[in-house]
Amino acid sequence: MARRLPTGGSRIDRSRPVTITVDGETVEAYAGDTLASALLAADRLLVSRGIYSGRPRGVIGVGVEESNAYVQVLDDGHVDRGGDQGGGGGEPMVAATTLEVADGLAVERIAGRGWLSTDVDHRRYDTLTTHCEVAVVGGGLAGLRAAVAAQAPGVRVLLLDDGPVLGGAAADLPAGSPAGLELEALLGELTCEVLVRTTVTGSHGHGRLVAVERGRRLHHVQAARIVLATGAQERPMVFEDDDRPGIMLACAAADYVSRYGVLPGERAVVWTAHDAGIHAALELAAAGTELAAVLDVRGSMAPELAGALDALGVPVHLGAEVTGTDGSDDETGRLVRVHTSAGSWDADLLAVSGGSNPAVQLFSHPGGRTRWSDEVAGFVPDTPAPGQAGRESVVGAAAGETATIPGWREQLTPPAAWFRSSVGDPERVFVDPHRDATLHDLRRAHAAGLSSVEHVKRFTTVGTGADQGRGFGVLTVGILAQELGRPVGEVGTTTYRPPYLPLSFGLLAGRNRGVLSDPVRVSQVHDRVAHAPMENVGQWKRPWFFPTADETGPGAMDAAVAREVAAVRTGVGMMDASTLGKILLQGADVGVLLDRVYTNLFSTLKVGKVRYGVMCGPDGMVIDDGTTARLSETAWLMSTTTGNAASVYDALEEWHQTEWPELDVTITSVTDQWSVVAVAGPSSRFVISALAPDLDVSAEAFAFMEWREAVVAGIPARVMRVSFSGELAFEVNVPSWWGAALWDAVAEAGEPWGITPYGTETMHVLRAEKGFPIVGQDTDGTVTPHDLGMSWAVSRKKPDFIGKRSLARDDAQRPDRRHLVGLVPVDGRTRIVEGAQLVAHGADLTAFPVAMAGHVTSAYPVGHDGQPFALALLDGGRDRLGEVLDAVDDLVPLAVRVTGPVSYDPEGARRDG
Amino acid sequence: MADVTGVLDLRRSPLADTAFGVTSPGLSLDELPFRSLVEVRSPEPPTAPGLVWRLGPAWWLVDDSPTTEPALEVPLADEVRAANPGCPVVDVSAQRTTIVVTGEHATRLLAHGCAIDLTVLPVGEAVQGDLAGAQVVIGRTADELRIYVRPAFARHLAAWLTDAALPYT
Amino acid sequence: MLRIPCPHCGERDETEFHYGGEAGVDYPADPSALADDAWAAYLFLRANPRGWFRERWFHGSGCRLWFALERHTVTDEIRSA
Repeated sequence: MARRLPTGGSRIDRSRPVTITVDGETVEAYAGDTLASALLAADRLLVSRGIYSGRPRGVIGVGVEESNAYVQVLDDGHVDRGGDQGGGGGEPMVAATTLEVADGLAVERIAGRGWLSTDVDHRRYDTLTTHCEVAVVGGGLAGLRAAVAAQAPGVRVLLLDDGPVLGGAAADLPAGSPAGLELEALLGELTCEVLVRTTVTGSHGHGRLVAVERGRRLHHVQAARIVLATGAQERPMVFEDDDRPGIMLACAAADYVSRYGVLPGERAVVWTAHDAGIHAALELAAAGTELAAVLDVRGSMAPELAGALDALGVPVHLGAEVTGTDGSDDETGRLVRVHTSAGSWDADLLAVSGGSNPAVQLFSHPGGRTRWSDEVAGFVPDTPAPGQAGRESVVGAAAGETATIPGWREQLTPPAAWFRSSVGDPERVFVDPHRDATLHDLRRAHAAGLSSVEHVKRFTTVGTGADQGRGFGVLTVGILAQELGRPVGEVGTTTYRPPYLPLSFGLLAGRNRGVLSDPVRVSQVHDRVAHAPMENVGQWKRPWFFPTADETGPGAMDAAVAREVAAVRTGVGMMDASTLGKILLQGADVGVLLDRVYTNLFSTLKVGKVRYGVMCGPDGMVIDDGTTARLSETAWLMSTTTGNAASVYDALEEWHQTEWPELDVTITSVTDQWSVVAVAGPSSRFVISALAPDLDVSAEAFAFMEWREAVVAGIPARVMRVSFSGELAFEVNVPSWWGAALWDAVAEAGEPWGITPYGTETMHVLRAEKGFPIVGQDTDGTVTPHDLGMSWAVSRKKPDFIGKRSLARDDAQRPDRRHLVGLVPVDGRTRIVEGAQLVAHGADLTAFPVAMAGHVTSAYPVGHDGQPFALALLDGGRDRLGEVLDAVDDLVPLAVRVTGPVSYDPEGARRDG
Repeated sequence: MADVTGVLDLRRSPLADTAFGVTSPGLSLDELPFRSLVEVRSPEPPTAPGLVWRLGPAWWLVDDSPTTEPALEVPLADEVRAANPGCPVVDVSAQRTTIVVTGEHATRLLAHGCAIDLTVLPVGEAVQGDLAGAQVVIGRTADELRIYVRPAFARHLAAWLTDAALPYT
Repeated sequence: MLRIPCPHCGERDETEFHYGGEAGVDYPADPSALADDAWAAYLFLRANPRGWFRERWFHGSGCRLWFALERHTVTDEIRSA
C-alpha cells in the first residue's frame, strides 16, 4: 500500500483488511475502499486504456463523474442471504470509483469496452415499490436538512443516498468542525426511512423515481413530493495530453486523502478555475503532497488563500494555464512533467478543477429546463417540468448554492467559466476520454456544419459512453460554444434521459426470470395432462398431443395426431377445454346487448339452448367467435376463444359502460370457475351415458346446441352439446376444483370405448376439416364474416349490430375479397406450409414483384382421407374452386388445388352420432 | 346424491400438492382452499355473512366458509341472493383461491411485486390490481392480508411468493 | 410511468389501465343513416392535439371502470375532465 497514509480515511476501516484480485494479481485494501482508492493506494495507476487510441488512462475522479476508470467485474464477491449466490455472471463497464471492495472481488482492466458474460447470472435481483409523501434524493447536509424538516406524523419521508454513509462531504470532515457538528445534530433528529448505497437513476414524472440499491434491488419510489439534493460534480479542464494517469480532478484528489487516507501524488501541480481547487491544493499539501505550483485561470486570488499558499512557499501563477504534459516511457505512461504558460515542472500529479456542475440530471429527466449561470459557472435548474411544478424542489449544490456546507472549500472569489487552454495539438486534447473523442473531432463536427449540441454528440460520440457525459459533458458544451463563438448558455446541454447510471438487464428483470418471467396459466385439469408436450396459447399451457410410448422421434406428433383424429372420428376422444374464456352475463337486457355485439340474433334464444355467434369490431372485421348458452331468463353464459377471453370481456364492458349504460346487464368473468372436459366422437354418447345415468343423452331428448344440468360421476355439472369437431360431442362443465376428478372419471368411464385424450393439434385438424376458422389464425383483422363464408351468421333483419354499417360498404362487398378456402396438394402427398404465399401456378418467382393472391393460414399433414390439406385466404376464392395455384414457401412452389373450406362431412350428418 | 362427503373430497384446490406454505416468525403464507365466494352487484354494501370486500363501484366480493354440500353453485349464492333482492349474484368460489399472508413482513412482501400502496390499506378494505403479473384482489383483515387469485395463476403466484419470501424467512 | 387517477381506486400505475383514445366520440344513433365518409370518420378519425386532450381510460386490473380525464400530450400532466 505504497500511497496509503499512516492515518486518516473517514470511509475505510483499517481493522478490516480486504483482498481483491486485479488481472489475477492480489491487491490489499481495507473495507470501505473503492476499487479506485485501493488501486491508487497500491500505486497502480494504469487502470484502463483508450477504446480506440489505446492510450494509458488512470483514475480521474472519485465518484459517478469518473470517465476513465471502468473495469470488467469478473466476480463481485458479494454473497448474502435470500438465495443470492453472488459471484459469477460478471458485469461490464463498472466505474472503479463507485465499486466498493469486498473479499473475493475480482476485476479485469479493459480498454474502454467490457463484455457481456455468457455465464448464468446467479445473483439475486429484486424489485420493491415504496410509497412516500416526501422523497429526498441525496443525503448530504442539504438533503438531511430537507428530510428532517419534512418529518412529521403521518408523513412518510424516504431519504436516498448513493454513498455508503449519510452526510456527503460533511461525513469526511472532522467531527468537531461546524459541518461535522451540524451533521451529528441532523443525524440525531433523523427518524425517516433511509436507503444508502442507493442511486436514483431516473425521475420519471408523476412522482415516480427509480433507484438502484447496491446493484441488486430496483426501487420504484412513488412520492407525493420530491426534494433533489443531488449535489454537484467537479468539472475537468482540457489541454494537450490531458489524459495521462496522474492527471486528476483536484477536489477528487483531495477527497482520496480525507475519505480513504490515500495520497494521490508526491509532487503536484494544481490548476483551477474556482476556489475549491485551491482549497483542494491546501488539503493535499497538508497531507504531504509537495505543491510544485498552483495555477489559477483567474486574475486574482482571495488574500486568505494566497496567504496560505505563500506560507507553504508555493509559487502561484494567476491567469495561467496548462499547455501539455509528458508521460513516463514505461507502459503506465504516467505523468512525469507538466508544461504551463508559466513554466514547466516535474510532477506525478496534475490536479485540475474547472468548476462545479450542479447535478441537474434528475431535475431534467421529466422535462425540467436548466439555464447557464455565470455566478455558478454552470448550468442550474431553471423551470421545473410542468408536471413537477409544486411537487419538486431542488436544494443545496444541485440548485447552484455555494455555501451549503459551512466552513468547507468556501468560495471567496467568483468562479471562472474556463473550458480549454488555447494551444496544443487538437488530436491530443481529449474532451471525452471515455469515448476517446478529441478537440479535433469536435472541430470536424463543426466543420461538417453541425452546431446543435445534440448533433455534435451523435457525430463525435461525446457523452455516449457508460459515463453519459457526467464528467466531461458540460465541458464539451463549453468548448463547443467557444468553437462556435456563441454563449455557452445558448448552446445548452444535451437532453438528460434516464437512467442516470447504467442498469443491468438482470436488475431490470428482477426476479421475473426463468419460470417466473411471465405467469404460466394452467387449468385445474393440468396435472392429469402435464405429461403431454405443451403448446403455449397466450400465457396458458395446453396439451399439444399425447404421444404413446411408440410415438417417438421427429414423426411423433404426426403419428399421435393421426391416431387422435381417428379416435374422435371413429370412436371417442377427450380433451381439456377449460381454457376457453367464459363470461356470465346477467340482467333483463342481456339479449339486447348480445344482439348488438354478435352479428346474428340472440335475444330469441330459449333457455336451455346454445347458439354460435360471431363478433365483429365496428370496422366489420371478425374479432371473436364462440357459443353462448341461455341459462335462465336473465343469465347467459358466453364462451370465447382462449386467446381473446380478456379482450372480449373488456370489450363487452366498454360497450355497456360507455355506450349503453341504460341496459340492465352485469358482466362477470367466470373462466376459472369452470373446468371443462370435451368428450367427442360417435361413442361419446355411451361415455356420457355411463357417467350420468340420470341424463337422457338421446338425440331426441338432448339435441345439438342444448345444455342440461346433470350429475356426472357424482359431480354436479352442466353438460353442453356443442361440437368443434363436427362429431357428436358433449362438453362437461364442473366447478373447477372438480376438474381433475372429472378428467379421471371420464377416462375411466371411456375405457371400454378406447377413449383417447387429444390435444390442441388434433382439435385444430378436426375443426379445419370442418372449415371452422380460428380467429387470429385464419383471420387477421381484415376478414369479415362473409369472407369466412359465414353469411349465415350475419343477421339481415337486425337494425344494427357492431360492424353492420362497415359490412355495407362497397369494399366489404367486393366479389374479389379474400375468402376462406381449402387447399390440397395436387400431388396428394406434399405438405402445404403454413404462411406460404399463393401465386399463379407457374409464376416466375424471379420476376419481382410476384403478384400475391393470398396466403395459407392453417396447414396439416394429414386429414381424414390421409392427405395433407390446408385453409387459406384467397382473392375471390369462393369463385376459384378447382383452380390450381402455387403455394410458395421460401421460393419453393407447391402446386395446390383450391377446394371449399369444408373437407369433411359437409352435410353435418355426424353431429348427432 | 349418495356420497356427499366423498364428492367433496374429490375437489382439489389449485395449490394442493404443491407444498406451498411458508411458516416463520415474521411471515407466513398459506392457501385457504374452497372458500365460498360470491360477487354481488349492489350500490350499498350487501347483507352477507363473512367478509365483504368492495371491488368497485357497486361491486362486492363475499368470502365465507367452505360449502358442505356439493352443488353446481355454493349455497352462499342463494343466501346472498335472498338477502339482497334484485342484486345480481354470481358464485365465484372456484374462480379464485385464497392465499393468506400474515406476519410483520406481510405488506412489504407484496411490495416486491405490487405497485399499490398497501401500507395505507385499512382493515376491512380491499384493492384490485396486479401482483407479480397476476390480477388479484387483496383484502386486509385485522391480522392478515388475503389474496384472491384465479386458480390458473395460483401456482405462478405461489412460486413467486415463495421466492419473494426467502429473505424474510 | 404515468399515474392515472381512477375515480374509484385513486391514483394507480398506468400499467393497470387500458387506453381508450379520445373521449366523447359517441356511437352514432343510426349508423345506417351515415354516408361512407361520415362512418369512416367515426371509425378512424380522432383529434390528436398538441396540448390538453380529453381521453378515456379503463381500469382493467382494478375496478373495471371506464372514465375520462384530461392529459397534456406534451407534458403528460393530468387533470380531471
